[in-house]
Amino acid sequence: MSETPALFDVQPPAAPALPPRDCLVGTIAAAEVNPLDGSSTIAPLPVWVTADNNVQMGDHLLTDAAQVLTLVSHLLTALRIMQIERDL
Amino acid sequence: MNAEVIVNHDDADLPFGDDWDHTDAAIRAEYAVTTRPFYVGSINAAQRDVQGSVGVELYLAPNGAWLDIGPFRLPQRELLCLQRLLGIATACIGQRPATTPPAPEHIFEDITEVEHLPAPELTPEAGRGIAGWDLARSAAELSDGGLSEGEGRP
Repeated sequence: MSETPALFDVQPPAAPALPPRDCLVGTIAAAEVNPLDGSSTIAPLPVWVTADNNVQMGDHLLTDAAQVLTLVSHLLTALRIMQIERDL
Repeated sequence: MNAEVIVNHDDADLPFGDDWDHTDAAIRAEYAVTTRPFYVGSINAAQRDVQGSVGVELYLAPNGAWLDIGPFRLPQRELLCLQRLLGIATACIGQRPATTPPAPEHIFEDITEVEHLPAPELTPEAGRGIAGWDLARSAAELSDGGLSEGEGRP
Protein backbone atom coordinates (compact mmCIF):
# COMPACT_ATOMS: atom_id res chain seq x y z
CA MET A 1 0.00 0.00 0.00
CA SER A 2 1.50 3.22 -1.14
CA GLU A 3 1.56 6.21 1.10
CA THR A 4 -0.25 9.25 -0.18
CA PRO A 5 1.36 12.57 0.51
CA ALA A 6 -0.38 14.60 3.09
CA LEU A 7 -2.32 17.41 1.56
CA PHE A 8 -2.05 19.69 4.46
CA ASP A 9 1.30 19.51 6.11
CA VAL A 10 1.15 21.29 9.36
CA GLN A 11 4.19 23.44 9.61
CA PRO A 12 5.26 25.05 12.83
CA PRO A 13 4.71 28.78 12.77
CA ALA A 14 7.70 30.66 11.58
CA ALA A 15 9.63 32.36 14.31
CA PRO A 16 9.37 36.12 14.16
CA ALA A 17 12.38 37.77 12.65
CA LEU A 18 14.85 38.93 15.22
CA PRO A 19 15.34 42.65 15.39
CA PRO A 20 18.68 43.82 14.03
CA ARG A 21 21.35 43.91 16.65
CA ASP A 22 24.73 45.52 16.98
CA CYS A 23 27.53 43.43 15.57
CA LEU A 24 31.01 43.39 17.04
CA VAL A 25 33.49 43.42 14.18
CA GLY A 26 36.60 43.14 16.30
CA THR A 27 38.61 44.57 19.14
CA ILE A 28 41.86 46.48 18.98
CA ALA A 29 44.45 46.35 21.74
CA ALA A 30 45.00 50.05 22.28
CA ALA A 31 46.31 52.15 25.11
CA GLU A 32 44.58 55.13 26.64
CA VAL A 33 46.89 58.03 27.32
CA ASN A 34 46.38 60.36 30.22
CA PRO A 35 47.01 63.84 28.81
CA LEU A 36 47.98 65.20 32.21
CA ASP A 37 50.95 63.01 33.01
CA GLY A 38 51.39 61.05 29.78
CA SER A 39 50.84 57.71 31.46
CA SER A 40 49.07 55.04 29.45
CA THR A 41 46.78 52.23 30.44
CA ILE A 42 45.68 49.28 28.36
CA ALA A 43 42.26 49.97 26.89
CA PRO A 44 40.67 47.60 24.38
CA LEU A 45 38.99 49.44 21.55
CA PRO A 46 35.99 47.53 20.20
CA VAL A 47 34.62 48.29 16.75
CA TRP A 48 30.89 47.72 16.29
CA VAL A 49 28.50 48.00 13.40
CA THR A 50 25.30 49.12 15.05
CA ALA A 51 21.81 48.04 14.12
CA ASP A 52 21.11 51.37 12.46
CA ASN A 53 24.15 51.13 10.18
CA ASN A 54 26.53 53.23 12.20
CA VAL A 55 30.07 52.38 13.21
CA GLN A 56 30.94 52.62 16.88
CA MET A 57 34.58 52.72 17.87
CA GLY A 58 34.93 52.73 21.61
CA ASP A 59 32.74 55.54 22.87
CA HIS A 60 32.76 57.33 19.56
CA LEU A 61 29.85 56.75 17.25
CA LEU A 62 30.42 57.49 13.57
CA THR A 63 26.96 58.21 12.23
CA ASP A 64 28.14 59.45 8.86
CA ALA A 65 29.60 56.89 6.49
CA ALA A 66 31.76 59.61 4.97
CA GLN A 67 33.45 60.02 8.35
CA VAL A 68 34.29 56.33 8.40
CA LEU A 69 35.86 56.61 4.99
CA THR A 70 37.71 59.73 6.11
CA LEU A 71 39.06 57.82 9.09
CA VAL A 72 40.17 54.99 6.82
CA SER A 73 41.97 57.46 4.57
CA HIS A 74 43.69 59.01 7.59
CA LEU A 75 44.78 55.57 8.75
CA LEU A 76 46.16 54.81 5.30
CA THR A 77 48.07 58.08 5.37
CA ALA A 78 49.54 57.31 8.77
CA LEU A 79 50.46 53.77 7.76
CA ARG A 80 52.16 55.03 4.64
CA ILE A 81 54.18 57.58 6.61
CA MET A 82 55.13 54.87 9.11
CA GLN A 83 56.31 52.69 6.26
CA ILE A 84 58.34 55.52 4.77
CA GLU A 85 59.99 56.27 8.10
CA ARG A 86 60.78 52.61 8.60
CA ASP A 87 62.38 52.38 5.17
CA LEU A 88 64.55 55.44 5.76
CA MET B 1 58.79 111.70 32.52
CA ASN B 2 60.66 108.85 34.17
CA ALA B 3 63.97 108.19 32.39
CA GLU B 4 63.93 104.48 33.21
CA VAL B 5 60.70 104.02 31.32
CA ILE B 6 62.24 105.63 28.24
CA VAL B 7 65.32 103.40 28.46
CA ASN B 8 63.32 100.19 28.76
CA HIS B 9 60.79 101.12 26.15
CA ASP B 10 62.36 99.06 23.36
CA ASP B 11 62.68 96.00 25.54
CA ALA B 12 59.06 96.25 26.53
CA ASP B 13 57.93 96.14 22.89
CA LEU B 14 60.07 93.15 21.98
CA PRO B 15 58.79 89.84 23.29
CA PHE B 16 62.18 88.52 24.30
CA GLY B 17 64.20 91.63 24.95
CA ASP B 18 67.72 92.23 23.77
CA ASP B 19 69.24 89.36 25.70
CA TRP B 20 67.37 86.72 23.72
CA ASP B 21 69.62 83.83 22.81
CA HIS B 22 68.88 83.20 19.13
CA THR B 23 70.93 80.01 18.96
CA ASP B 24 69.20 78.48 21.93
CA ALA B 25 65.81 79.50 20.55
CA ALA B 26 66.59 77.91 17.20
CA ILE B 27 67.64 74.68 18.88
CA ARG B 28 64.51 74.67 20.99
CA ALA B 29 62.32 75.35 17.94
CA GLU B 30 63.92 72.52 16.00
CA TYR B 31 63.54 70.20 18.97
CA ALA B 32 59.88 71.16 19.28
CA VAL B 33 59.27 70.48 15.59
CA THR B 34 61.01 67.11 15.64
CA THR B 35 59.36 65.92 18.85
CA ARG B 36 55.88 67.29 18.33
CA PRO B 37 53.28 64.77 17.09
CA PHE B 38 52.30 65.21 13.47
CA TYR B 39 48.67 66.17 12.86
CA VAL B 40 47.17 63.74 10.38
CA GLY B 41 43.53 64.80 10.37
CA SER B 42 40.31 64.74 12.29
CA ILE B 43 36.85 63.23 12.07
CA ASN B 44 33.52 64.16 13.56
CA ALA B 45 31.85 61.64 15.81
CA ALA B 46 29.10 61.45 18.37
CA GLN B 47 29.81 60.45 21.92
CA ARG B 48 27.68 59.15 24.75
CA ASP B 49 26.47 61.76 27.19
CA VAL B 50 27.78 64.50 24.91
CA GLN B 51 25.34 66.58 22.93
CA GLY B 52 26.32 67.30 19.36
CA SER B 53 29.40 66.01 17.63
CA VAL B 54 32.91 65.87 18.96
CA GLY B 55 36.06 66.17 16.95
CA VAL B 56 38.47 63.25 17.12
CA GLU B 57 41.96 64.28 16.08
CA LEU B 58 44.65 61.97 14.82
CA TYR B 59 48.29 62.61 15.68
CA LEU B 60 51.22 60.59 14.42
CA ALA B 61 54.35 60.14 16.50
CA PRO B 62 57.40 61.97 15.10
CA ASN B 63 59.23 58.67 14.77
CA GLY B 64 56.17 56.91 13.34
CA ALA B 65 55.88 54.55 16.27
CA TRP B 66 52.26 55.17 17.13
CA LEU B 67 49.12 57.04 16.14
CA ASP B 68 46.85 58.81 18.59
CA ILE B 69 43.14 58.61 17.77
CA GLY B 70 41.52 60.81 20.35
CA PRO B 71 42.62 59.42 23.69
CA PHE B 72 43.69 56.08 22.24
CA ARG B 73 47.25 55.32 21.23
CA LEU B 74 47.76 52.57 18.69
CA PRO B 75 51.01 51.02 17.52
CA GLN B 76 51.47 50.24 13.86
CA ARG B 77 50.35 46.61 14.13
CA GLU B 78 47.07 47.53 15.80
CA LEU B 79 46.62 50.40 13.37
CA LEU B 80 46.76 47.97 10.49
CA CYS B 81 44.23 45.79 12.28
CA LEU B 82 41.92 48.76 12.84
CA GLN B 83 42.15 49.72 9.21
CA ARG B 84 41.05 46.22 8.19
CA LEU B 85 38.22 46.23 10.72
CA LEU B 86 36.98 49.56 9.43
CA GLY B 87 37.10 48.15 5.93
CA ILE B 88 34.81 45.34 7.06
CA ALA B 89 32.59 47.82 8.86
CA THR B 90 32.25 50.04 5.80
CA ALA B 91 31.39 47.01 3.73
CA CYS B 92 28.71 46.11 6.29
CA ILE B 93 27.06 49.50 6.11
CA GLY B 94 27.22 49.44 2.33
CA GLN B 95 29.66 52.26 1.84
CA ARG B 96 32.52 50.45 0.19
CA PRO B 97 35.12 52.74 -1.27
CA ALA B 98 35.67 52.43 -4.98
CA THR B 99 38.46 49.98 -5.74
CA THR B 100 38.31 50.28 -9.49
CA PRO B 101 38.48 53.37 -11.65
CA PRO B 102 35.28 54.47 -13.36
CA ALA B 103 34.54 52.76 -16.64
CA PRO B 104 35.58 54.72 -19.73
CA GLU B 105 32.94 56.21 -21.96
CA HIS B 106 31.58 53.90 -24.61
CA ILE B 107 33.26 54.41 -27.95
CA PHE B 108 30.95 53.76 -30.85
CA GLU B 109 32.57 51.80 -33.64
CA ASP B 110 29.60 51.98 -35.97
CA ILE B 111 27.60 55.10 -36.74
CA THR B 112 24.40 53.05 -36.77
CA GLU B 113 24.79 52.51 -33.03
CA VAL B 114 24.48 56.23 -32.53
CA GLU B 115 21.40 56.46 -34.70
CA HIS B 116 19.55 53.96 -32.56
CA LEU B 117 20.25 55.79 -29.36
CA PRO B 118 17.25 57.34 -27.63
CA ALA B 119 16.89 61.05 -28.12
CA PRO B 120 18.41 63.07 -25.32
CA GLU B 121 16.04 64.69 -22.93
CA LEU B 122 15.72 68.32 -23.89
CA THR B 123 15.81 71.04 -21.32
CA PRO B 124 13.56 74.06 -21.75
CA GLU B 125 16.59 76.09 -22.78
CA ALA B 126 17.73 73.62 -25.42
CA GLY B 127 17.45 74.56 -29.04
CA ARG B 128 16.51 78.16 -28.48
CA GLY B 129 19.77 79.41 -29.85
CA ILE B 130 21.09 82.84 -29.34
CA ALA B 131 17.83 84.51 -30.37
CA GLY B 132 15.81 82.60 -27.82
CA TRP B 133 18.43 83.26 -25.23
CA ASP B 134 18.21 86.95 -25.96
CA LEU B 135 14.45 86.96 -25.80
CA ALA B 136 14.50 85.06 -22.55
CA ARG B 137 16.39 87.80 -20.83
CA SER B 138 14.08 90.15 -19.11
CA ALA B 139 14.11 93.82 -19.77
CA ALA B 140 14.97 94.43 -16.16
CA GLU B 141 17.99 92.21 -16.45
CA LEU B 142 19.18 94.01 -19.53
CA SER B 143 18.59 97.43 -18.05
CA ASP B 144 20.37 96.38 -14.90
CA GLY B 145 23.61 95.13 -16.31
CA GLY B 146 23.27 95.63 -20.01
CA LEU B 147 25.18 93.50 -22.44
CA SER B 148 28.50 92.17 -21.37
CA GLU B 149 31.55 92.22 -23.51
CA GLY B 150 31.16 89.94 -26.50
CA GLU B 151 27.40 89.53 -26.07
CA GLY B 152 26.31 92.04 -28.65
CA ARG B 153 25.17 91.07 -32.10
CA PRO B 154 27.54 91.70 -34.98
